[in-house]
Amino acid sequence: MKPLLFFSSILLLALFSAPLLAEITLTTVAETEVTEVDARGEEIVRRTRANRVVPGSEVIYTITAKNSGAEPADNVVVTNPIPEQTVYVDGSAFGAGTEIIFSADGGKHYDAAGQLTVKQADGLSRAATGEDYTHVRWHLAFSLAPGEEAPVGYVVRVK
Amino acid sequence: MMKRTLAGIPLWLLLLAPWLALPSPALATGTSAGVDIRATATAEYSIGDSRSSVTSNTAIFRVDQILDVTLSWQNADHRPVGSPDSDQVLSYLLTNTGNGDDSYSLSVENGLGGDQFAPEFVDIYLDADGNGLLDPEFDTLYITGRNDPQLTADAARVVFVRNNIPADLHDGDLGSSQLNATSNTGSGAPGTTFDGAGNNGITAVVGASGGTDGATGSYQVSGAGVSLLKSVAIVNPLGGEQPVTGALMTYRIEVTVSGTARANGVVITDSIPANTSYVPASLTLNDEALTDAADGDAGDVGDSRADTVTVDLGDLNPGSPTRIITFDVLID
Repeated sequence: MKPLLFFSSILLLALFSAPLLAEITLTTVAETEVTEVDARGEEIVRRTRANRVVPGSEVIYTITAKNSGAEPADNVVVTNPIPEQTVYVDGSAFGAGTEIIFSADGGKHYDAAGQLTVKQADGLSRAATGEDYTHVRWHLAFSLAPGEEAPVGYVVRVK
Repeated sequence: MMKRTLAGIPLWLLLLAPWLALPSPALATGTSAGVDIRATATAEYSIGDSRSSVTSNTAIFRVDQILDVTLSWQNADHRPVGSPDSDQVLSYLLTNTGNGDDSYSLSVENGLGGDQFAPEFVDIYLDADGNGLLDPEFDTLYITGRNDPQLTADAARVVFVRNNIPADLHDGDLGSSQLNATSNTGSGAPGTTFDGAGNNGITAVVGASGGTDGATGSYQVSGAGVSLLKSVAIVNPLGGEQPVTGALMTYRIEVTVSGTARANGVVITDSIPANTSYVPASLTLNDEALTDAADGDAGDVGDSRADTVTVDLGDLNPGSPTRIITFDVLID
């Protein structure tokens, strides 16, 4: 095979393969809420890209899974490690049509909120709280159709 | 066989324990200014029979610098002072409760309400040797804008304020002095932002303290000392000084004011001893007779308080001449 033809084939293959490799795109956005007062004196809560974040601030993460391919995607599972220096705000995880589970041991074991336990220094176990969570995971209960987006997310408080 | 301790913990784990037990840095104020917080999500999915995974972008935001400060007065109680008195020290603890490096300008406010006198400001010292005690030889005289105390997050420093105490104050008088500390990075309503003013040019945000704090310390004049010297002379009708029935006892109380402050409203009371009877019209003050009734003069017997000699000496200044009270009783 001539080198030129060889490279062309590779290029063609790459062009066709690319959409297949990126059937689902995943985007993470960190936002903060700002309360502003409008001209009529009413408070509006506006979301902006996370800024003015200080210890104690709450930051909203939204992870959007989009099906960019031509085939429906099944059994979509989105996982997000809770960032360092932040704690999960209890009850904050959201995601329409998803089952939300958590891990309190670095992602080894997942279960529903309230079902997890952690070992204390004295060796006894206690119920895990948001502060113990290390990961949040969403199981999409539906099939993600081509072009469809599924936003999920949660809120953290900066330590 | 593995070596085990009594508790059944493997020896190697025990050796590891000191490292495991290392406390995480005590970040009372939380995440340090300038830290980037990153989050990346992953997803798995099936298309047909093939299972794939995808990783999201990494969302990054930076933790801004929050400006917070606390001051607390360290003396356990009012500092006792004379009147006048000089260079009287109050101690305060200045703590950076923000999450980044900051420096503070200090000022003293006297003439506050709710007290009896205003201390006169002298100077402020920074505890350079960290021993919590003011030693002008080793500690640093504070000059506004020149050596404003710099503190890292959570760090604290002792600050001394020296005031003079005015003359002619009364015993028990209180005087307050307030030290204020304000962040040089920024202060104002909580939430106010200062772009680029934080450490390494990051945004600084005023915290709940407003970036400023004040603490009030106080002095109490306690220089007045009233000393009493009581003596008794016995005259036995049979001769001699035996305290027998019918003997006359003359009590003598000498009142002297020492110290540096005025003693306010000095009232001397002395109860008539049991098994004795007051000799009517025997009460004297500085060799002048006082009536037994509570009336225009300074003393009475039994009226202000039953079976008690009461003499109201009023305000006494340091150096006032000694007051001498005498009265007689007969042994029953």
